[in-house]
Amino acid sequence: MGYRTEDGSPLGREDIDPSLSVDALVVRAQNGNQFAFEALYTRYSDQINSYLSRMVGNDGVGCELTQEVFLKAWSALPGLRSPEFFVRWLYRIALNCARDYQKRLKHVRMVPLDTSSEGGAEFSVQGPEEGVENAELVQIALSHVSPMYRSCLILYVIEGLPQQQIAERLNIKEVCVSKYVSRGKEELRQIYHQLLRGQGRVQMKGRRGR
Amino acid sequence: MSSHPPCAAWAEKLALRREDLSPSDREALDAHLAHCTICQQAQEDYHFLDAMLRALPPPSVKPLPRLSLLLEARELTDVPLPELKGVDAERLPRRSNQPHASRSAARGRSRKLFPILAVACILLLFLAGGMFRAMTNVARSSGTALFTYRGQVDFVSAVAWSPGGLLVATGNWDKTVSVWNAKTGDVLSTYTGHSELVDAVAWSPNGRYIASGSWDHTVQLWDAFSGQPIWPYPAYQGAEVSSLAWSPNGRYIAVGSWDRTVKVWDVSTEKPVLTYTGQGEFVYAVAWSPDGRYIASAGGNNLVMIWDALTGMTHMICSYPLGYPVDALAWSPDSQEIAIAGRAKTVQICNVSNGKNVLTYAGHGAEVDAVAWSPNGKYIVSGSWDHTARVWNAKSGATILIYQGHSDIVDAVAWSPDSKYIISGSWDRTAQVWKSGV
Repeated sequence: MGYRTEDGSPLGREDIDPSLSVDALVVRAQNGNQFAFEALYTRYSDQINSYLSRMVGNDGVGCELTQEVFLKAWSALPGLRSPEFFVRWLYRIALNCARDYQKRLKHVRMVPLDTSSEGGAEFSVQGPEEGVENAELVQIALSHVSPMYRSCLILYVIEGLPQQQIAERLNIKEVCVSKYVSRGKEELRQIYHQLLRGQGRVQMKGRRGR
Repeated sequence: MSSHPPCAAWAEKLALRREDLSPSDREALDAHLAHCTICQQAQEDYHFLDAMLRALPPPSVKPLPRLSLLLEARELTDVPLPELKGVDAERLPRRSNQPHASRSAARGRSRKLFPILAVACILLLFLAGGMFRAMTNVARSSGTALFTYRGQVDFVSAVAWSPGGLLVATGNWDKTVSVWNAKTGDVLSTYTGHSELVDAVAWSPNGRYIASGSWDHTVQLWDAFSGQPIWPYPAYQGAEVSSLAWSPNGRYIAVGSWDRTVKVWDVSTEKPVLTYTGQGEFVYAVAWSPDGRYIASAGGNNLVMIWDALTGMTHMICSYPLGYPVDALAWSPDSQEIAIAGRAKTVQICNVSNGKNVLTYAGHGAEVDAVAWSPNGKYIVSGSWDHTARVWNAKSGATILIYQGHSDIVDAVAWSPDSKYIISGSWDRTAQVWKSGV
């Protein structure tokens, strides 16, 4: 089905070739072509979803935030001056959404980890469960790393991006990336270590988390 | 897995991918690793954690496969989107040229009619209730801003009035501290030495220096007038700095941090002379008693620790309601009582000689994030997540004034030295100076 705008430019799905470049899709979407934006959504939603889920430490929330990011992006797209910056711009919106979410977290009372992890140690057995448990511990530890460091860790370690791209996406200086990655890794290590030892009453830094 | 951090000089290189290092760095790192077991251990741990991070399963919840469903739902509800940072709002046209927009708008109008009527009725009821309350309430619910400072681009998280009364300092989430004239708003200096948001600001008792604490884990001391650093390098605290307080004699600074400690730094040597670990939780608030004898600290639990500033021995423990963290503290000028504000939506006044609760102020409708005791000792101002600041009598708890000039959380408050004015900093990105009304 195709639509036609007041100025006569085509807005049809048939106009959208999925192999079009990002820039071309962005330009079409800026002209109001929803199908072009749909193509961008298909291309980047999993990436943003993964990033946000790791940022907030919750897949459900990450998913909701992802949708919020794209809604905001659709609304603000005409204001994007350079289509080639679309991806980094999208990440900026995602980072802001994650920050806003963490600000709102202050209203949420967190259950301290120790109340949910107390006891039961005597029932644990060696086996494949250990691997799953380790992954969960790493995920919990990651969600407690300072937000900016966490963001750098996700992009550097999980997504494997070069430092320059990370700096662009997070709007920080390139020299800061290695510092933040280094501090983030050490924080992650210390928190993971605490969790392993079962001493870490690692309380959510939700208070004013950024 | 060991918990020793790697050598500071090598930490950054250890954390980077090998291909991101220059050949000479690689060689130097290998040489260092050959004899440093701590760094070897750190590298092994990093490799292990990197592998675990990369092996994390993909998110179990996926977004909707088609965005158009969401867009349609939004058009039906027609909820305005929040403001976007970094986007030129003036250039955002409305997408009224989309053909389905008019159809969905027509559908939406009929659906919206009923909720609008319902909301109008509720508003009328509130209006009538508000008028009744206004007629019966003794507290003034106004208070006009004498000056609104909009020089910061992010939340205002800390405010401090200079001992001389002419200047104020505001610490911001935009990583800066601004020093400006409280009457005219003229900016005297802007400090940009922090790399993360600034959460604490305090003037030295002689009014010459400002200490600022930030989430970049540092405390920095600088000249209030020139913005030039006094300490040659920042004082590292070990975690996010949430609060700080000068000793009344100006020789020491107590710094509260998320590393669960309060460190007392000697200003002249820039060395920690005492580390208090009795809190056992993130420290969110620190206050030095005006007589210089005690330091009060509080944070992630409900306990306010009053401890000897010289020895670090715990003198008294005051309690806030169980399960509610404490966000702010303020001593009475006579050092006999302390006001405790936190997430139980109340401010409690505790007698520090016997630990007993003297008064509970419950006027706020949400968590209380800031509190300050007037220099004349008679009043207290508290700032809250309910977007108001309230001035109330420290003896009776009677509300004197409700300041409603902010449109978001009031995160910081401070009195002028003559107790006539108050400055409040808010998440609405403004700092406002207003008459205390007392």
